[in-house]
Amino acid sequence: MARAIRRIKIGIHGSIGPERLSRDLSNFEEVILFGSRAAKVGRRGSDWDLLCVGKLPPRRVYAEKPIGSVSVLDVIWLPPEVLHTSEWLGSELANHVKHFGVVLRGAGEWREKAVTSEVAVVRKVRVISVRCRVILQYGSYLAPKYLEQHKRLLRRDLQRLDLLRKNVPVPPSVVLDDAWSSDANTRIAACETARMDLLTSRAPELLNLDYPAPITSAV
Amino acid sequence: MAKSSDNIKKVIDDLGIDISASDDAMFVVGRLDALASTIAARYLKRVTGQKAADAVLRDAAQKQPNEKYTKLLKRAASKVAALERIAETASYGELRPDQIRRANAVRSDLYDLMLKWLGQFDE
Repeated sequence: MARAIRRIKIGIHGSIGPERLSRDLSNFEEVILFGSRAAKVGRRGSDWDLLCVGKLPPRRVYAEKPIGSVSVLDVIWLPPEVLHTSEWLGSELANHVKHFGVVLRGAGEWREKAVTSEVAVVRKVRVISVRCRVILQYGSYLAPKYLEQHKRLLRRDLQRLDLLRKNVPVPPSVVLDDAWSSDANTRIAACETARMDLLTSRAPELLNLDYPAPITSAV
Repeated sequence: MAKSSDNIKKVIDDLGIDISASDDAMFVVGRLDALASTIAARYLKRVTGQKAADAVLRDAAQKQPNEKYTKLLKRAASKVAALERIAETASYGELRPDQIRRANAVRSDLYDLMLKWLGQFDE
Protein backbone atom coordinates (compact mmCIF):
# COMPACT_ATOMS: atom_id res chain seq x y z
CA MET A 1 0.00 0.00 0.00
CA ALA A 2 2.91 2.29 0.66
CA ARG A 3 3.31 2.01 -3.09
CA ALA A 4 1.16 5.09 -3.23
CA ILE A 5 0.54 6.31 0.27
CA ARG A 6 2.29 9.42 1.46
CA ARG A 7 2.18 11.20 4.78
CA ILE A 8 2.70 14.93 4.88
CA LYS A 9 2.52 17.29 7.82
CA ILE A 10 1.37 20.80 7.00
CA GLY A 11 1.40 23.67 9.43
CA ILE A 12 -1.27 26.30 8.84
CA HIS A 13 -2.28 29.53 10.48
CA GLY A 14 -5.74 30.62 11.51
CA SER A 15 -8.68 28.72 12.86
CA ILE A 16 -9.40 25.32 11.37
CA GLY A 17 -12.67 23.52 10.98
CA PRO A 18 -14.39 21.11 8.61
CA GLU A 19 -15.69 23.93 6.39
CA ARG A 20 -12.30 25.50 5.88
CA LEU A 21 -10.63 22.14 5.29
CA SER A 22 -13.25 21.19 2.73
CA ARG A 23 -12.81 24.51 0.97
CA ASP A 24 -9.02 24.64 1.09
CA LEU A 25 -8.65 21.05 -0.04
CA SER A 26 -11.13 21.32 -2.89
CA ASN A 27 -8.59 19.94 -5.36
CA PHE A 28 -9.04 16.50 -3.88
CA GLU A 29 -11.75 14.11 -4.98
CA GLU A 30 -12.20 12.95 -1.43
CA VAL A 31 -11.27 14.40 1.95
CA ILE A 32 -12.03 12.49 5.15
CA LEU A 33 -11.30 13.70 8.64
CA PHE A 34 -10.30 10.89 10.98
CA GLY A 35 -8.53 10.45 14.31
CA SER A 36 -9.38 12.33 17.48
CA ARG A 37 -10.92 15.39 15.79
CA ALA A 38 -13.34 13.22 13.85
CA ALA A 39 -14.25 11.20 16.94
CA LYS A 40 -14.78 14.45 18.84
CA VAL A 41 -12.20 13.51 21.45
CA GLY A 42 -9.54 15.89 20.16
CA ARG A 43 -7.73 18.12 22.60
CA ARG A 44 -6.37 21.60 22.21
CA GLY A 45 -3.39 21.28 19.92
CA SER A 46 -4.46 17.91 18.50
CA ASP A 47 -3.49 17.39 14.87
CA TRP A 48 -6.13 17.37 12.18
CA ASP A 49 -5.81 13.93 10.62
CA LEU A 50 -6.97 13.87 7.04
CA LEU A 51 -7.21 11.27 4.34
CA CYS A 52 -6.95 13.05 1.00
CA VAL A 53 -7.64 11.21 -2.21
CA GLY A 54 -6.52 12.81 -5.44
CA LYS A 55 -4.22 12.52 -8.39
CA LEU A 56 -1.62 14.88 -6.93
CA PRO A 57 -0.22 14.81 -3.39
CA PRO A 58 -1.01 17.80 -1.13
CA ARG A 59 2.43 19.31 -1.55
CA ARG A 60 1.45 20.40 -5.03
CA VAL A 61 -1.94 21.81 -4.29
CA TYR A 62 -1.60 23.14 -0.77
CA ALA A 63 1.12 25.47 0.38
CA GLU A 64 3.34 23.95 3.01
CA LYS A 65 4.36 26.19 5.87
CA PRO A 66 6.74 25.47 8.69
CA ILE A 67 5.62 23.18 11.47
CA GLY A 68 5.17 25.14 14.67
CA SER A 69 2.37 27.33 13.42
CA VAL A 70 -1.07 27.28 14.94
CA SER A 71 -2.46 23.98 13.66
CA VAL A 72 -0.98 20.92 12.07
CA LEU A 73 -2.67 18.97 9.32
CA ASP A 74 -1.42 15.39 9.31
CA VAL A 75 -2.34 14.36 5.80
CA ILE A 76 -2.36 10.84 4.42
CA TRP A 77 -2.55 11.05 0.67
CA LEU A 78 -3.72 8.29 -1.64
CA PRO A 79 -4.28 8.27 -5.41
CA PRO A 80 -7.83 7.15 -6.34
CA GLU A 81 -6.77 3.84 -7.89
CA VAL A 82 -5.52 2.57 -4.53
CA LEU A 83 -8.86 2.93 -2.76
CA HIS A 84 -10.34 -0.30 -4.06
CA THR A 85 -7.29 -2.51 -3.64
CA SER A 86 -7.49 -5.33 -1.11
CA GLU A 87 -4.31 -4.03 0.50
CA TRP A 88 -5.91 -0.69 1.31
CA LEU A 89 -9.35 -2.09 2.19
CA GLY A 90 -7.76 -4.58 4.60
CA SER A 91 -5.52 -2.04 6.27
CA GLU A 92 -5.83 -0.84 9.84
CA LEU A 93 -6.14 2.75 8.66
CA ALA A 94 -8.94 2.03 6.17
CA ASN A 95 -10.88 0.22 8.87
CA HIS A 96 -10.32 3.08 11.30
CA VAL A 97 -11.52 5.62 8.73
CA LYS A 98 -14.54 3.43 8.01
CA HIS A 99 -15.66 3.55 11.63
CA PHE A 100 -14.48 6.95 12.81
CA GLY A 101 -14.04 9.05 9.67
CA VAL A 102 -16.10 12.10 8.79
CA VAL A 103 -16.41 12.68 5.06
CA LEU A 104 -15.76 16.34 4.25
CA ARG A 105 -15.67 15.94 0.49
CA GLY A 106 -16.57 13.12 -1.88
CA ALA A 107 -18.60 10.00 -1.26
CA GLY A 108 -16.29 7.69 0.65
CA GLU A 109 -18.18 4.68 -0.68
CA TRP A 110 -15.15 2.42 -0.45
CA ARG A 111 -15.56 2.47 3.32
CA GLU A 112 -18.35 -0.11 3.13
CA LYS A 113 -15.83 -2.65 1.86
CA ALA A 114 -13.12 -2.00 4.44
CA VAL A 115 -12.46 -4.94 6.78
CA THR A 116 -9.93 -6.00 9.38
CA SER A 117 -7.58 -8.38 7.61
CA GLU A 118 -4.98 -10.88 8.72
CA VAL A 119 -2.48 -8.80 6.75
CA ALA A 120 -3.12 -5.88 9.11
CA VAL A 121 -2.51 -8.15 12.11
CA VAL A 122 0.73 -9.50 10.67
CA ARG A 123 1.83 -5.99 9.79
CA LYS A 124 1.15 -4.80 13.33
CA VAL A 125 3.16 -7.69 14.79
CA ARG A 126 6.10 -6.60 12.66
CA VAL A 127 5.76 -2.96 13.71
CA ILE A 128 5.73 -4.00 17.37
CA SER A 129 8.74 -6.21 16.80
CA VAL A 130 10.64 -3.25 15.35
CA ARG A 131 9.60 -1.05 18.27
CA CYS A 132 10.84 -3.68 20.73
CA ARG A 133 14.18 -3.90 18.93
CA VAL A 134 14.59 -0.12 19.08
CA ILE A 135 14.08 -0.06 22.84
CA LEU A 136 16.27 -3.11 23.41
CA GLN A 137 19.12 -1.76 21.30
CA TYR A 138 18.94 1.96 22.03
CA GLY A 139 17.01 2.28 25.27
CA SER A 140 20.13 3.17 27.20
CA TYR A 141 21.14 5.81 24.65
CA LEU A 142 17.78 7.50 24.25
CA ALA A 143 17.03 10.72 26.09
CA PRO A 144 14.17 10.21 28.56
CA LYS A 145 11.74 12.12 26.33
CA TYR A 146 12.53 9.91 23.36
CA LEU A 147 12.45 6.71 25.36
CA GLU A 148 9.08 7.72 26.75
CA GLN A 149 7.84 8.38 23.23
CA HIS A 150 9.07 5.03 21.90
CA LYS A 151 7.44 3.22 24.81
CA ARG A 152 4.20 5.10 24.24
CA LEU A 153 4.19 4.09 20.57
CA LEU A 154 4.91 0.47 21.51
CA ARG A 155 2.14 0.45 24.08
CA ARG A 156 -0.40 1.92 21.66
CA ASP A 157 0.53 -0.61 19.00
CA LEU A 158 0.07 -3.44 21.48
CA GLN A 159 -3.40 -2.13 22.22
CA ARG A 160 -4.12 -1.86 18.50
CA LEU A 161 -2.92 -5.41 17.90
CA ASP A 162 -5.25 -6.67 20.59
CA LEU A 163 -8.19 -4.86 18.99
CA LEU A 164 -7.27 -5.99 15.49
CA ARG A 165 -7.17 -9.60 16.65
CA LYS A 166 -10.60 -9.14 18.19
CA ASN A 167 -11.88 -7.53 14.99
CA VAL A 168 -12.65 -4.33 16.88
CA PRO A 169 -12.12 -1.00 15.06
CA VAL A 170 -9.03 0.77 16.37
CA PRO A 171 -10.05 4.08 17.94
CA PRO A 172 -7.97 7.30 18.00
CA SER A 173 -4.82 7.31 20.11
CA VAL A 174 -6.36 9.50 22.79
CA VAL A 175 -9.01 6.84 23.40
CA LEU A 176 -6.31 4.18 23.66
CA ASP A 177 -4.44 6.35 26.16
CA ASP A 178 -7.51 6.85 28.31
CA ALA A 179 -8.30 3.14 28.27
CA TRP A 180 -4.76 2.28 29.25
CA SER A 181 -4.76 4.55 32.26
CA SER A 182 -8.25 3.75 33.46
CA ASP A 183 -8.88 0.11 32.60
CA ALA A 184 -6.74 -2.67 34.06
CA ASN A 185 -8.29 -5.16 31.65
CA THR A 186 -6.83 -3.20 28.75
CA ARG A 187 -3.38 -3.71 30.21
CA ILE A 188 -4.04 -7.40 30.79
CA ALA A 189 -5.27 -7.83 27.23
CA ALA A 190 -2.16 -6.11 25.90
CA CYS A 191 0.06 -8.48 27.88
CA GLU A 192 -1.88 -11.46 26.61
CA THR A 193 -1.76 -10.38 22.99
CA ALA A 194 1.97 -9.66 23.24
CA ARG A 195 2.59 -13.21 24.44
CA MET A 196 0.79 -14.73 21.47
CA ASP A 197 3.79 -14.14 19.20
CA LEU A 198 7.50 -14.55 19.81
CA LEU A 199 8.19 -11.32 17.93
CA THR A 200 6.14 -9.30 20.39
CA SER A 201 6.64 -11.33 23.55
CA ARG A 202 9.16 -8.98 25.14
CA ALA A 203 6.94 -5.94 24.87
CA PRO A 204 5.37 -6.21 28.36
CA GLU A 205 8.79 -6.42 29.94
CA LEU A 206 9.98 -3.37 27.99
CA LEU A 207 6.94 -1.46 29.16
CA ASN A 208 7.67 -2.56 32.74
CA LEU A 209 4.34 -4.33 32.85
CA ASP A 210 3.85 -6.96 35.47
CA TYR A 211 1.42 -9.45 34.16
CA PRO A 212 -1.58 -8.48 36.22
CA ALA A 213 -4.18 -10.87 37.49
CA PRO A 214 -7.47 -10.69 35.57
CA ILE A 215 -10.08 -8.42 37.09
CA THR A 216 -13.06 -10.49 38.13
CA SER A 217 -16.32 -9.27 39.49
CA ALA A 218 -16.66 -12.01 42.06
CA VAL A 219 -14.20 -13.09 44.69
CA MET B 1 32.93 13.64 28.09
CA ALA B 2 34.68 10.45 26.99
CA LYS B 3 31.54 8.41 27.59
CA SER B 4 29.41 10.82 25.58
CA SER B 5 31.90 10.64 22.70
CA ASP B 6 31.85 6.84 22.84
CA ASN B 7 28.06 6.82 22.71
CA ILE B 8 28.01 9.18 19.75
CA LYS B 9 30.58 7.07 17.91
CA LYS B 10 28.66 3.87 18.60
CA VAL B 11 25.41 5.26 17.19
CA ILE B 12 27.16 6.77 14.17
CA ASP B 13 28.83 3.44 13.59
CA ASP B 14 25.38 1.81 13.51
CA LEU B 15 24.30 4.31 10.85
CA GLY B 16 26.63 2.42 8.53
CA ILE B 17 24.17 -0.49 8.46
CA ASP B 18 22.21 -0.71 5.22
CA ILE B 19 18.48 -0.18 4.94
CA SER B 20 17.27 -3.04 2.77
CA ALA B 21 13.64 -3.48 3.88
CA SER B 22 10.67 -1.54 5.21
CA ASP B 23 11.35 -2.76 8.74
CA ASP B 24 14.89 -1.38 8.54
CA ALA B 25 13.45 1.99 7.58
CA MET B 26 11.14 1.94 10.60
CA PHE B 27 13.97 0.83 12.86
CA VAL B 28 16.19 3.67 11.72
CA VAL B 29 13.88 6.14 13.47
CA GLY B 30 15.08 4.75 16.79
CA ARG B 31 18.66 5.04 15.62
CA LEU B 32 18.11 8.68 14.65
CA ASP B 33 16.58 9.42 18.03
CA ALA B 34 19.57 7.74 19.67
CA LEU B 35 21.86 9.91 17.56
CA ALA B 36 19.99 13.04 18.61
CA SER B 37 20.03 11.92 22.24
CA THR B 38 23.77 11.27 22.39
CA ILE B 39 24.58 14.54 20.61
CA ALA B 40 22.19 16.43 22.87
CA ALA B 41 23.83 14.89 25.94
CA ARG B 42 27.15 16.35 24.87
CA TYR B 43 26.12 19.73 23.49
CA LEU B 44 22.70 20.57 24.83
CA LYS B 45 22.67 18.72 28.15
CA ARG B 46 19.14 17.48 27.57
CA VAL B 47 16.41 17.16 25.01
CA THR B 48 13.65 19.59 25.79
CA GLY B 49 10.02 19.29 24.77
CA GLN B 50 9.17 16.96 21.92
CA LYS B 51 11.86 18.10 19.53
CA ALA B 52 12.39 15.92 16.52
CA ALA B 53 15.86 14.49 15.98
CA ASP B 54 16.64 16.90 13.13
CA ALA B 55 15.77 19.90 15.31
CA VAL B 56 18.14 18.63 18.02
CA LEU B 57 20.94 18.40 15.47
CA ARG B 58 20.22 21.94 14.28
CA ASP B 59 20.40 23.19 17.87
CA ALA B 60 23.66 21.32 18.44
CA ALA B 61 25.04 22.82 15.21
CA GLN B 62 25.09 26.19 16.94
CA LYS B 63 27.42 24.81 19.61
CA GLN B 64 30.14 23.54 17.30
CA PRO B 65 33.77 24.65 17.62
CA ASN B 66 33.88 26.07 14.10
CA GLU B 67 31.83 26.76 11.00
CA LYS B 68 32.93 23.55 9.27
CA TYR B 69 31.31 21.34 11.89
CA THR B 70 28.28 23.61 12.13
CA LYS B 71 27.67 23.16 8.42
CA LEU B 72 28.19 19.41 8.60
CA LEU B 73 25.66 19.07 11.40
CA LYS B 74 23.11 21.26 9.61
CA ARG B 75 23.43 19.16 6.48
CA ALA B 76 23.10 16.04 8.61
CA ALA B 77 19.93 17.47 10.14
CA SER B 78 18.38 17.76 6.68
CA LYS B 79 19.23 14.14 5.95
CA VAL B 80 17.73 13.08 9.27
CA ALA B 81 14.48 14.89 8.42
CA ALA B 82 14.38 13.27 4.97
CA LEU B 83 14.99 9.83 6.42
CA GLU B 84 12.29 10.29 9.05
CA ARG B 85 9.78 11.24 6.36
CA ILE B 86 10.43 8.01 4.47
CA ALA B 87 10.36 5.98 7.68
CA GLU B 88 6.96 7.43 8.60
CA THR B 89 5.56 6.17 5.34
CA ALA B 90 6.88 2.71 6.19
CA SER B 91 4.69 2.62 9.28
CA TYR B 92 1.63 2.52 6.98
CA GLY B 93 2.78 -0.31 4.79
CA GLU B 94 5.54 -1.84 2.78
CA LEU B 95 7.88 0.58 1.06
CA ARG B 96 8.42 -0.08 -2.59
CA PRO B 97 11.97 -0.85 -3.79
CA ASP B 98 12.72 2.66 -5.03
CA GLN B 99 11.66 4.10 -1.65
CA ILE B 100 13.96 1.66 0.14
CA ARG B 101 16.81 2.58 -2.18
CA ARG B 102 16.13 6.25 -1.54
CA ALA B 103 16.09 5.68 2.24
CA ASN B 104 19.38 3.84 2.03
CA ALA B 105 20.95 6.55 -0.11
CA VAL B 106 19.93 9.20 2.43
CA ARG B 107 21.24 7.02 5.25
CA SER B 108 24.53 6.62 3.43
CA ASP B 109 24.83 10.40 2.94
CA LEU B 110 24.06 10.94 6.61
CA TYR B 111 26.64 8.36 7.63
CA ASP B 112 29.33 10.07 5.53
CA LEU B 113 28.47 13.48 6.96
CA MET B 114 28.57 12.19 10.51
CA LEU B 115 31.91 10.48 9.97
CA LYS B 116 33.35 13.80 8.77
CA TRP B 117 31.77 15.53 11.73
CA LEU B 118 33.33 12.97 14.07
CA GLY B 119 36.72 14.16 12.85
CA GLN B 120 36.60 16.97 15.37
CA PHE B 121 37.01 14.47 18.20
CA ASP B 122 40.45 13.57 16.84
CA GLU B 123 41.65 17.16 16.48
